[in-house]
Amino acid sequence: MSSFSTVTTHQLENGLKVLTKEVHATPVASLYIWYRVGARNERPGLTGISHWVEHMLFKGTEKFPKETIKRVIEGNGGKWNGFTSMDYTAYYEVLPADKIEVGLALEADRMQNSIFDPEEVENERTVILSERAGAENSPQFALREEVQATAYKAHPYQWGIIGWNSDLQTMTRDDLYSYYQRCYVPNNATLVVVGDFTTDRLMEQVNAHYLHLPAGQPITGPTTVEPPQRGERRVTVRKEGQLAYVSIAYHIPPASDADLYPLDVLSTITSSGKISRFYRELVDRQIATSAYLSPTFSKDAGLAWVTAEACADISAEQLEVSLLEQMDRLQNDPVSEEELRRAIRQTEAQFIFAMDSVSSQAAQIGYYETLVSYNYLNTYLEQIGSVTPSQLQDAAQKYFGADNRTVGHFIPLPPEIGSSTGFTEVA
Amino acid sequence: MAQINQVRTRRQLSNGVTLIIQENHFNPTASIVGYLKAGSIYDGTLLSNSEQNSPPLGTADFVAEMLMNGTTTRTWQQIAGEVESVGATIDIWGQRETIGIVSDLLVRDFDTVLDVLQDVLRNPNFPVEQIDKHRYQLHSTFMAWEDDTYSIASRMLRELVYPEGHPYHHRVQGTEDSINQITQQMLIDFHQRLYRPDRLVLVITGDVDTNQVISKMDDVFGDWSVDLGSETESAVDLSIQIPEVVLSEPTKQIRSMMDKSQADIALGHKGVTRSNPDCEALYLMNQVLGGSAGIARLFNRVRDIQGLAYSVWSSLAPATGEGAFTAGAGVDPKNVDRAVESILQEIRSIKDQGITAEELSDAQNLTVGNFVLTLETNKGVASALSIAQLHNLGLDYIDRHEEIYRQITLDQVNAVAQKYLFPDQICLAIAGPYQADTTA
Repeated sequence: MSSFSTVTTHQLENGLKVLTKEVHATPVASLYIWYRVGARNERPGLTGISHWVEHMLFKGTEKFPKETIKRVIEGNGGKWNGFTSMDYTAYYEVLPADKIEVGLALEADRMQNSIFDPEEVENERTVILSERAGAENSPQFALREEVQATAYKAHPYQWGIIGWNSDLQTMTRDDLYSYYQRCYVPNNATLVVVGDFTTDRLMEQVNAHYLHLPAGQPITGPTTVEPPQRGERRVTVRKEGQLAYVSIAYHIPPASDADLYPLDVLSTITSSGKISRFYRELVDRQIATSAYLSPTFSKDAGLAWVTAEACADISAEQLEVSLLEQMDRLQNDPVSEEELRRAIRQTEAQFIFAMDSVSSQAAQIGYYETLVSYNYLNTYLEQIGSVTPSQLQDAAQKYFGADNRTVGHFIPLPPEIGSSTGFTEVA
Repeated sequence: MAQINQVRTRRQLSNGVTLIIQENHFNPTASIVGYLKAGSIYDGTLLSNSEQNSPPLGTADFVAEMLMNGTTTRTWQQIAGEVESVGATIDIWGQRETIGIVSDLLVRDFDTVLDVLQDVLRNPNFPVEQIDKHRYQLHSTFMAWEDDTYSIASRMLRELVYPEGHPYHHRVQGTEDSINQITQQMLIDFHQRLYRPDRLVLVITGDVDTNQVISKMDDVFGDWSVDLGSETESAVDLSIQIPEVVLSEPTKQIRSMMDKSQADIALGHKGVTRSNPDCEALYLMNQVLGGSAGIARLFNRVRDIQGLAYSVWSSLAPATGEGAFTAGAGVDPKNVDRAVESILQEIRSIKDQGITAEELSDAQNLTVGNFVLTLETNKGVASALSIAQLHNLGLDYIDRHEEIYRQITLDQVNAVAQKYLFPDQICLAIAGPYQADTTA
């Protein structure tokens, strides 16, 4: 079986780190480029700028003008996209293996030569406002944004990746372009290529496309550290809707902290499948339609989210009581050996399934390298396998207390009288 | 192409279960993907001439969802426990024509998972308590959908495109009223009539030995006999003739939800059957219209040039019957009319002027290339083989895929665009903070 111990590291002089792994199962190769820039590098007034810059990288360079850039990957039979998070911005191409150089050339070029045409920036402003409006239609989004903003008062993790509406309306082309110039430098990026190639040949191509790119100033993250929370915070969102939702956010340490392993196991025990605790205690008992515990794996201290959708006729208050019962149980009673063993086995299987595809391998290598180190993957199963019930209880007690949580309720309001909710048929 | 050129075997057990097996020894994993012909087209009056015996809308989906909720020898907790504690998954869900089956597992657990799978397909016992729970969950799910502009627009469009009584008109999950009528006996009857070995197809890909799989399958499914009872198999199957759809005059339906931020629009009309020889050419046409991001006209013009929407798309859903051609976007309420006009303009333009040779070549490269990418995983290969089997495309379809798409000419694509796009007979659904212009 393929594993992550065969990843090769190459460090270019301009600071670009290149991680490669040969996989010859199918004639496919996948490349990801990860920039260490995301919402955490933003400031009020420019929230959402990382995500907007990501959109602008699909608008063309001199070498790949707009009409060409649209066609170059798909026209070669590939898939491509980009995504932005709190901590990073990443772009990927999955291509027939003999076409991977097209992806290498494109990513090298748009790292520094994207045009940011002012007219394109204006068109994209309405597209991004539309993306935000689409998200606002969802009660979960509205609630999450409020809880996040309440859980943090100092650190940039308090705003969402999409950014605040007013910032999206006022940000200028020059704001975007200077942010791009500063952050899109080889020393702030990791290039990952996995697939059906020979490393020597691939590195020749990488060198040809990337060696000449000049390094920039080092990019530093925020210096602000979120002060400890000293008591429960609560927030409510009232909007027209059908069902109630509850989100509870607990402060947890950054990805580099060893407590993330027990938190990961607690997430599997509570949330994975029908034998999970939340399914048995909330879904099967007809309190929630779904409920999950998901710890964020983030550069700076993040949040463990408990999110749930209430069943019809169940209020946010009732749902919260049931969720907190489960969170208390994790603190009060040790998890059984059997539950732990099952969780470990589930984690192992998921890990092996992910090895099926070169894209998922490339994604994981880049993700862990950006947040901690890709070596995390080589020790991950061992670390998870050595977690004990008492470590789980310790972690639960340390993080899932009342003083460390922000509780959010989404209260669905019946449609306003006269707002004309209903069908109109026009022949 | 190490994976897809490996030996592929199709075998029919004596009771009619169809097996397709493809070995791939790269990882110690396997996928089981398949279907059983018992989808929502068998709901309603179509199954029987007698109204009294007809299963209410949503019955087929209800049966599929109940399979993992208890058998004559296992409770739902035992089913979930056996599968999940080895890190495997079994998902079974209702669809329009079939129920879908997907299982991912480590090969060491093959026997365990297979035993549960055969049990849930053959011996569900539909416990009343679980039926009530599922019904209640469905009510909550329907409410969540009622809050989602995209779900509402899609549902309204489907109901406009397919007239009432057509097997594609109703939602697979049924309605609030129809699911309330479903009884345990109806679920048992539906299962007895339609869950038969000769309606089941399973594709197994991964780190397995073909002969061993066949022999195991024979062990677990071999004694499942077709109990024809008073009916014949053909009587059930032949009764499902999906009627042709007649195009209507342009129709519009609006659902105003003034507290939402964005409106969803969905428009379309009937499409083609999968057996239609024009299907592949039409697929390429749709890639150029709105089936992709990079090369599609809708994405490039409506989103990128006009900045009207974050999401804008078109799709085809060829099926046994005429699956719909649809297009849509999520837009600012003040841009609804402009977006509708822009999408229609692109449809008209492709119908009247066709696509270019360059667009055809891009669409072919995209289609062929992306198909190869989907064959990267066991599940991807198994899904492709399963779809090929469902539509009688041949066991070698995935090998011929490239040739089929490369042979299609510009004239063919432009002819099918002319033949199957009807921008003047479009059904339109809008859900969101938008109100009808009452002066119209």
